[in-house]
Amino acid sequence: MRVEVITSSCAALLLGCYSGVHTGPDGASEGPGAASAGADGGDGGDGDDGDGSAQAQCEDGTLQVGATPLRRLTRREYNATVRDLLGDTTAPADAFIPDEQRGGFTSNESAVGALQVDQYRLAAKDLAATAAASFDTTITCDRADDACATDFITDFGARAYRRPLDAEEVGAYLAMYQQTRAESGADTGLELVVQTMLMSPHFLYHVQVGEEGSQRLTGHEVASRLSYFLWGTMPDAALFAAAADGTLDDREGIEVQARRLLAEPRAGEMLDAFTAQWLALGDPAEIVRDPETFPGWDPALFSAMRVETETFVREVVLHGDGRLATLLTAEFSYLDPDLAAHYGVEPGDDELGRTDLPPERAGLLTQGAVLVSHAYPTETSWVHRGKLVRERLLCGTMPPPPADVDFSEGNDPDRLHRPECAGCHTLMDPIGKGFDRYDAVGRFQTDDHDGQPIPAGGEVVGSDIGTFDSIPQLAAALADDDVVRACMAQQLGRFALGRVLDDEDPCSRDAILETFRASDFDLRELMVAIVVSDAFRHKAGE
Amino acid sequence: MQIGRRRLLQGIGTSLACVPFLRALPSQAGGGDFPKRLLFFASPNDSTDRPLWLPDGDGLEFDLPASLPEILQPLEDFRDNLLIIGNMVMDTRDKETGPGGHVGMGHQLTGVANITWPNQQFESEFWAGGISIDQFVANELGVDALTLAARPYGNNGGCRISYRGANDPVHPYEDPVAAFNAVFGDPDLSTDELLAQYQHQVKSLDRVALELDRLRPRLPSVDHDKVDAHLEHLLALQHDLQSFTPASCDPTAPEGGYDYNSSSDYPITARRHMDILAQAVACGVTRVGSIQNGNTGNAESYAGTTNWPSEGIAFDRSQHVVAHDFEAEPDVAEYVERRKTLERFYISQYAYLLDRLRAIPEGDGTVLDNTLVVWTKGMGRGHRKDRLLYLVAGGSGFPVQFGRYLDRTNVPHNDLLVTLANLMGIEIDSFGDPEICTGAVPL
Repeated sequence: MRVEVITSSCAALLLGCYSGVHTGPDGASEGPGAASAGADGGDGGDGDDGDGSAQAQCEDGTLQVGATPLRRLTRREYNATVRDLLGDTTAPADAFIPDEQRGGFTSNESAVGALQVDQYRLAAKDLAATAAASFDTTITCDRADDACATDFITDFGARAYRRPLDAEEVGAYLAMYQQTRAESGADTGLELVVQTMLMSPHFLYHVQVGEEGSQRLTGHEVASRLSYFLWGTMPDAALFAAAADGTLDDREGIEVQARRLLAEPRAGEMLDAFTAQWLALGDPAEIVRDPETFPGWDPALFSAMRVETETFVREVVLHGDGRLATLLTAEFSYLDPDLAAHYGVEPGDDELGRTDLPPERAGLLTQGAVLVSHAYPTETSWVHRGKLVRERLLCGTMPPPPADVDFSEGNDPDRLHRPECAGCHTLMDPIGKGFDRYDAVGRFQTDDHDGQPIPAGGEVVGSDIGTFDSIPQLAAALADDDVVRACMAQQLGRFALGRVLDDEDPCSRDAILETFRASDFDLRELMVAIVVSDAFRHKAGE
Repeated sequence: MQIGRRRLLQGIGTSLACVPFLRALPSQAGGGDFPKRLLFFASPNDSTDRPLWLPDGDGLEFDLPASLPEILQPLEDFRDNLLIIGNMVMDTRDKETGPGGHVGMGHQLTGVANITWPNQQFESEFWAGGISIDQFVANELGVDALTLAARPYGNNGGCRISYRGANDPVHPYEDPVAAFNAVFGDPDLSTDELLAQYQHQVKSLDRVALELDRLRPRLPSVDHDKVDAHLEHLLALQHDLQSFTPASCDPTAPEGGYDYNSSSDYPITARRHMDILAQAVACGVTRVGSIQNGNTGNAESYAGTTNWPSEGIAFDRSQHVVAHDFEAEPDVAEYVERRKTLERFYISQYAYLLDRLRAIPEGDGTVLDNTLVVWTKGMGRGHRKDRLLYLVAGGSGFPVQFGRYLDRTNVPHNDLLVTLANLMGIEIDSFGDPEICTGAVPL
């Protein structure tokens, strides 16, 4: 497969601004071809020597897998995990310090700090106390009995650690229980077991150490990667069973489970989180519009916009054709009546408010959540809307603004003419300017308040896309652009693994992109391609 | 000894000097030497421009005039406790990677340029490159620094000022209640209940430490540092729980009625933190601490406004934009007014901390007499490295003549960090980047 670096024509000229996705520019199918699980069913026998040629995606049979950093659960993952592990819906991780972000996606890969260790202690204490309060209903055997405690330790431990406990672990927890039982009673002993497990590295981290003497991940580790990627939470019983019976040792088994997970409602929660991070959508509590400029603005509208985008992505990816092009160009959306009135369209009357859109609206880029998140309280933002397209859809990299930058004009045409600004702003402002007919509260209008027509059109400099006359036209061009497609694969890969699949994983990267292409850029197939890739199923060699 | 039950602070606006803040402090009883303390107050953006903060006077050093510049007026009542230091330079900004802007805030207390990650893609995703002066002094004194922040709004190098070392940020308490409980213990529990709880948790932590230890060799070597850091913090926490003794004072728990995550409650959150900071040093729980307001440039996102009902401040733009408006067009009256209002607000918050310290008697004077409170930022006007404004407040416990303006043009800020350590009794002659630091700056 041909791989080339897309070097925008200006990138070489521009200080630190570049477009960074590697992509195969055409549909050539001479790739490793092992990307589709269905076409690769023959690797089921790789269980004996996991890293052999039978399963590797590189043509020469070698395994090229980069290192996935050791990460702690994000706040979202922690909350969802204790919900599924303990039935606790108090979202205790909301009290944790914010997650780190890498490339826009949450990923806690820095070393833990003192405060976080203490926050984990406090959350574990409260969670265990709540769990102990309902031991009467959740533990049906005699809790003062060693056998009962052993069963609890074994069962709860396997779900908390997301893998079966070993003999040392069961023994140590039984001893902890017995000692505490003697001092403070059986329930206190079990409560302490729960509290301790919730502070364990096997609960707090995504631990993936692999099979003994191999780069291959264990079935349970694959199960966790699958469930945290596709659901944002711990595996369910069926996934644990698949891990235990060897189903996840080959690509076919992983694919079957991945498709099952994608068919469940929790995949929708994952899509909500992915979309919000990918498109840098604002938090409803933080988005404010100036009441003098926008007297009709109601903050509840932004929440409705978030629901619009979440519903739209869920419907397209989980129940529709799943295509990237549909996400970017769909002529329909899902609007509640207030939001429809705000947009000036007639709402649809089905349960989800599916609405056919007027020609000025197309896909994600004209949805209120995107438009409002990337605007100032009083006006549109060429920079922020352009930056969104440049960074999140084209995977370009924009450095921070230079010192002495002049922010006083939100939208300042001079930036394109001053040499110290133009380098980077050329990559953003001409895109963002093309959004000017969508105001800072997401309404479409052709004339400004003085009755003067607002220019439409813009340009994606340094790209095959070039100039465009309207945002729907830009959206169509983006949907047809190989850089955007490769970027989409990169973004979902990053979401899945917390790292960019690139030069360290050339074969996984290429195979994933091939499958995405072969599916006519269906995000579901992209996600399946990611989970069956070498990169997903292995750890790096030392 | 019993921890006091929850007692509520008086409402905002009450004359706090009249409220018996703490009682029966052991340090109040004795005379002579009192422990020296060091506190930092960090706020976002720059310190406006020199004409707005330069006091009237002749020469490079002079007594502060009766009337201070408008944005500093909340400090007039503290004139005799105040040093205004003008025009120092932050050469650590020169060494930072990438163009200027908000390049993290870690360098202000570390005196070292920040570290850039490989493949850094987004602004501020990096940490400082060395230990910060608060942590250094705390280590030397054998205490834990208390690190607090009101809405730091993120978890990256743009939101952290305190570091144990390169790439090793100290995450601040964001919730004043959590901070109070950590410092003084949960006021809803009796001492016996607390001790029983901690005793169980010590056993838990034993087990967790063992599991980290067993996991370590199974991980790739690149991850071992993370396990080591976790173990270190775990053992430190275990030690804290084991050695917990209730504070010898009767601390006042923070009053409720605000949301520490809320933008509009941000000024109140900061004051609750400062209440705790003042009590913690007065009570002898620690001698070093910091309160960080917002982060390097914008406590709020660019898409937000500045709306603080408790202060009567409502702008249709974020603090960051307010600062840039003024920087770009300092002749537009509206921009100047907004900028002055914003900075005067931060100065008044700084004055609040001084007020809390002065409200606590100590010997013949107050806790403020033995506490250095340092106003610090990450940049000079408009992202520049020079024309910094520093404020150092304190009192008779230090061999410093307060009530003065000192011009220290182009003296690197590292030198002030050295001086602060010296004033705390720690003899060093360099801090941070040795190529930048030239030794203590005379105050």
